[in-house]
Amino acid sequence: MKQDKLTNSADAISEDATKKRRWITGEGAVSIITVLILVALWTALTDSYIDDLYFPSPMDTIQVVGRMEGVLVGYFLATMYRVVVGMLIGAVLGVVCGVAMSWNKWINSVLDPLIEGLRPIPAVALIPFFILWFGIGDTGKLILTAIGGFTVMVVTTLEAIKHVSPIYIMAARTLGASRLEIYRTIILPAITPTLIGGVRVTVALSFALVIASEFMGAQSGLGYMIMLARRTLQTDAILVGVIIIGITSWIVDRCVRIVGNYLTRWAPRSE
Amino acid sequence: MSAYISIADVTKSFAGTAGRIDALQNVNLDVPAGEFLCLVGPSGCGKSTLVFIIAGLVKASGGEVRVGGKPVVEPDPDRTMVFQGDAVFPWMTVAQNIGYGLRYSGVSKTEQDQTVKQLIDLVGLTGFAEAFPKELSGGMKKRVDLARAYATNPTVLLMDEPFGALDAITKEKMQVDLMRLSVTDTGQRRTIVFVTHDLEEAIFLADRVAVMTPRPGAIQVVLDVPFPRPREASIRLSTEFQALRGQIRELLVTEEEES
Repeated sequence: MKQDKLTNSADAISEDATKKRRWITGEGAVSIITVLILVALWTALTDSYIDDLYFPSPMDTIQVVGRMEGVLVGYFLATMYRVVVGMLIGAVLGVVCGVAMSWNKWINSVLDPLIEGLRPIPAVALIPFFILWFGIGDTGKLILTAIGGFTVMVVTTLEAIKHVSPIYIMAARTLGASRLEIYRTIILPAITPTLIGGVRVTVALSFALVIASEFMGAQSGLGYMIMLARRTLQTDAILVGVIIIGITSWIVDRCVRIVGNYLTRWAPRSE
Repeated sequence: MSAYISIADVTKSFAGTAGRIDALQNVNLDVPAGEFLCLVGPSGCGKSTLVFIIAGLVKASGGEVRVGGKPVVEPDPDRTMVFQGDAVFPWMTVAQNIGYGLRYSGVSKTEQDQTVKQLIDLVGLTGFAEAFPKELSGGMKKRVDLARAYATNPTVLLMDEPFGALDAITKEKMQVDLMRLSVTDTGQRRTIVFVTHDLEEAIFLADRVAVMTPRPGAIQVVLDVPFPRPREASIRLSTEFQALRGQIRELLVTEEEES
């Protein structure tokens, strides 16, 4: 018996634990080199072949940031507010509705046609209506973003619940858990990894929807800035807007992944 | 002894893609309190379905199952189950898994923690209380599963090929542990219904072995296993043991040929 315990514990020490943490991995270094080569190529090409009007050089781009600093921060914050708040409202409502629809077939019968009717419509197509109804302020943009996130998350939640392994639910039932407790202790944790994937899609979609709605009617925001710059052919300002959106979107996705990895630290990973 | 689990005329049919499938037909079986009964039968004979019905997870199409005199209508923590597949919740630690049923049993948190701690030691997982199942081997996970099923101190334990996926050596160890643990807190033997397709396992563990017919499943014959307890692993090699194994095998093979 003692022998058995010893061998068991030796097996259980996962390889990860023995691996030393290094500041940077070989793969990471290669990725950084790729980025550096791209920037070098960008500098070389804009110095020679490409006219600044079509694609500004790195130096021009950096100078624009200095010139526009004041408005840039305000526009950035306006866009971020719309993305984050709209996304949160949509995602939370989506998960709540998805869970409610799986809980009760009547709730499902009521909501299913509404969602199925809404889902095939690209949310951007609704922007003209939203401007008409809510004007060019925040309200319409928040609702639009929320609708986008809602449809993604409600479908993700329903699919995830459908695929929870029945063995877990049966085991919980034999151990005396009520239906509510099964939802709380089995279904919610079991669907979390899939939901994290849905949130990542929602983040990307929310940026797209906010920028698109800022293009069509706004008085602030990065989308608005890009639109103004287009009218006056300030391609360097357009590029600054694009880069900021890209970097922020990447950072938000990163944060979702970090939180997600913590929440699903129990899940076996194939890496 | 009177029947603790009584199965009377239980029938079960499923609506499958290829029409109606009759899984069980007129199953009659009585299990006295404290008996270890093994169910064997050809694959697809409905032996798993039968334990799922006893557990209250599946409804019979006809007939009735009574446990302790009361008809089974839904699952109850007094009848816990160990499944063939891996049913250990991967998002809970070993301790949380083992204590899962205790949360709903109404005992105090301190008492729950104490029971969990004892069970962890009892199944040989000392030091793994805070580990997640992904860090455990298949055999260790099965120990967590067993401990979780014992935690609510059930009078009936239902086991659906629990050791089917384990290697031979781990399986033998688990069988010995199972025998050791099949006693309630008050020293009474639990009533156990154990499904297996491994005849040696069935004879080694059981007081009686119920042999089922091919689908639609029914009880063909119930055989007594005469070996005294505690049983040593070496009894498998005895002539009596092997003779009984041959007899059950013969029953299964002939039935298969006839159908």
